[in-house]
Amino acid sequence: MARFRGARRPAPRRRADVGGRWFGDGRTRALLCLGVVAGLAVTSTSAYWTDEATIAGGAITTGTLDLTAGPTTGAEQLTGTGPNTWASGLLAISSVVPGESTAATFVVRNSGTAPLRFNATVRASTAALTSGSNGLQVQVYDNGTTAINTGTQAGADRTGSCNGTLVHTSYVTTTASTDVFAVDVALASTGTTRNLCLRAWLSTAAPTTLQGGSTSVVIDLRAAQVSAP
Amino acid sequence: MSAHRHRRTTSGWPGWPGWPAWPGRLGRLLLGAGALLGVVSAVTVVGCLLVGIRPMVVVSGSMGPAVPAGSLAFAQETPAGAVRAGDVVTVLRADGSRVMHRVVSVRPAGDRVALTLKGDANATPDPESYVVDSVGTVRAHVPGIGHPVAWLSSPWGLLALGAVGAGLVVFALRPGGRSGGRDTGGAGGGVAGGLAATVVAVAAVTTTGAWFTDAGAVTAGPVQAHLVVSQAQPTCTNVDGVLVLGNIARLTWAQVDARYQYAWEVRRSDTNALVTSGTVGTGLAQGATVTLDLGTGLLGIDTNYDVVVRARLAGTTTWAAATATTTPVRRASILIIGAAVRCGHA
Repeated sequence: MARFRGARRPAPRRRADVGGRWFGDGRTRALLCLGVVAGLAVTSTSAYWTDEATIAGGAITTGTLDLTAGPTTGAEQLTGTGPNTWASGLLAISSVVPGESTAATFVVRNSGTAPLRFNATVRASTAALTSGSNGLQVQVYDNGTTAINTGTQAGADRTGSCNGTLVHTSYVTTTASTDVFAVDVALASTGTTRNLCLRAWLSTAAPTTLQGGSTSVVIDLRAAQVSAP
Repeated sequence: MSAHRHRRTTSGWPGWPGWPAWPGRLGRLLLGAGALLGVVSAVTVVGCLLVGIRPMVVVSGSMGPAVPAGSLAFAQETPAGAVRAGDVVTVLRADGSRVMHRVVSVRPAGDRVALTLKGDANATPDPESYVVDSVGTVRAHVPGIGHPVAWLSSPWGLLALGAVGAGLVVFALRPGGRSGGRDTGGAGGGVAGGLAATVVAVAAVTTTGAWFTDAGAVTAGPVQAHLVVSQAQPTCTNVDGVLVLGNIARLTWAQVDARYQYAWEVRRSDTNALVTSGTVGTGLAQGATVTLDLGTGLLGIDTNYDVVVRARLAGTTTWAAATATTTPVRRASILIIGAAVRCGHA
C-alpha cells in the first residue's frame, strides 16, 4: 500500500523519512553514526584516569569454576561451588604409636570450564595430636602418584611413604598452615588434574599426653579464576 | 519494487553510475538508527566524562545474577573512605587486571583502606585483600551490551568498525547529492573528527573480571593415637619347689597388646621403699600369658610387700597405661618348706 501510494507521489522519500527532522539528511546521519566510534574511543580514554593495564577485547566468559578432588580421576568429590567437604577416609589409621606413619594419594581436578589456580593449607580438626614439634606431622608431595604403606599394627612399625616432590611439612594444629605450594598451581583447562600424596607421621617424641587422641587432617583447597579470562 | 526503482537516481559519481544519490528507505532507517545510537553514545560519553564515570565490560560471571557476564557497567571513581560494605566496586588486582566484586568488609590500612571482596556467586571471599585509596563504585549496569562492545574492541571488531566508519565518511563526502555546499562544509569538518575517532578507538575498552572462586575441604583420617590399656589384675599363685627360685609367688596376666611390656616394682608395704624392679612381657603375642615370679632372693626380709605392674609401649616407654595394678605378697618362713614368698599380706 505504501509503495503504491509512494509511486504516485513525486517525493515519496520525505514521507518515509521519519527521522529526517531530527538527524538531517544522509550525510549528517552518517557522520552522527561515527558517534558510536567516539563512544568506544572515550571508553578507552577514560582508562587514563588511573594508571592501569587493560585487557583488549577480552572474551566474555560465562563459564563455571569448579575445583574437585577425589581418590582417582573420575571419582570426583567437592563438585559444585563450595565450600563443601569430602570426608575422604584417606590416611585413616587407628591405634597409632609414636614413629608410625601412613600415606595416601588423591587427585585435584579442574572440573569447571574456567581456567583456575589453586593452593591449599593443612590443619587438624582437633588439637588432640598437637604438641609443638612432637605431635602429628603432615607432609604433602606434589605429583605424588603412589603411596606405599608397609608394616603392621602388632609390629608397631607401620610406615607410609610417597613418591613425588615434598612441598610441605608441618606439625598440624587447628589453625591453617602456610600455603602448601609456594606458587599457586594452575589447572588451565577442563579436566586438568594434579596428583598429590599425603603423609602423616606421629613423632617418635610424641608425649604420653597424646595417647588416645584422634584428629582428622583437613586439607583446605581454594581455587580462583586465572587472571586473563 | 517499482517504487524502489523509481527512487534510484544515479549520483553522477564518475564510474559509479548505479550509486544512489539518496539511500533507500531501509538505508535511511539504518542511518537514522545509527545516528541515534551515535548521539546516545556521544552524550553518554560526555556525561560520563563530566561526572567521572568509566564504562567497563564485565567479562565473567561471579557477580551473577546481580551483574551478569556481558554487562556494560558504569563505575564512578570514589575515594576509598566512602566505600561501605555491600557496595559493588571494581579494583585493580596485583597482576594489573581488574576485579568487580561486592565489599564484605572495610578496615583502615594506614592512610588507605583494605577491602575484603566477594563475588555474589562465590561462596567465599577473595583470598587476597585489596589495599586501595580509591575504587570504582558501580553505579549502574546494562546487561547484554558488553558483548557487542567487547567484540568491537577485538581485532575483527576494530577492523569492521574501521571499515564501516570509513564507509560512512566516504558516503558523507561523496560528490553530488542534494545540497552540496552546506553539507560538504559540515562533512569536511566532521571528517577529521571521524577519522581521528576511528583511530582512537583502537585503544582498548576497559574490562573488569568478576572472578570466580571455589573452596573445598578434603578431610583425611581420622588419625587415632593408641591408648595404652592396663592389664587385668594379675592372678597370684603360690608355687613351691621351683628350680633355683624355691618357693615363690607367681603373678600371671594376659598380654594386652603385642606392642606392650610391663614395668613392675616391689615396695615394702610399711615404708613404701622400693625393693626391686624390672620389666616383663616384651615381645609376647596378644593374649599370651605374662608371668612374673617373685622368689625369696628378691625379697630379703620377712614382711609385707606390694607388687605394682604398669603396662607401657615397648618401643616408646613414656607411653604407659594411666592405671597400674597392685598385688599384695609377703615373705615368710614356713614350717617344713622354709623361706617362701606367698600371695597376700600377713
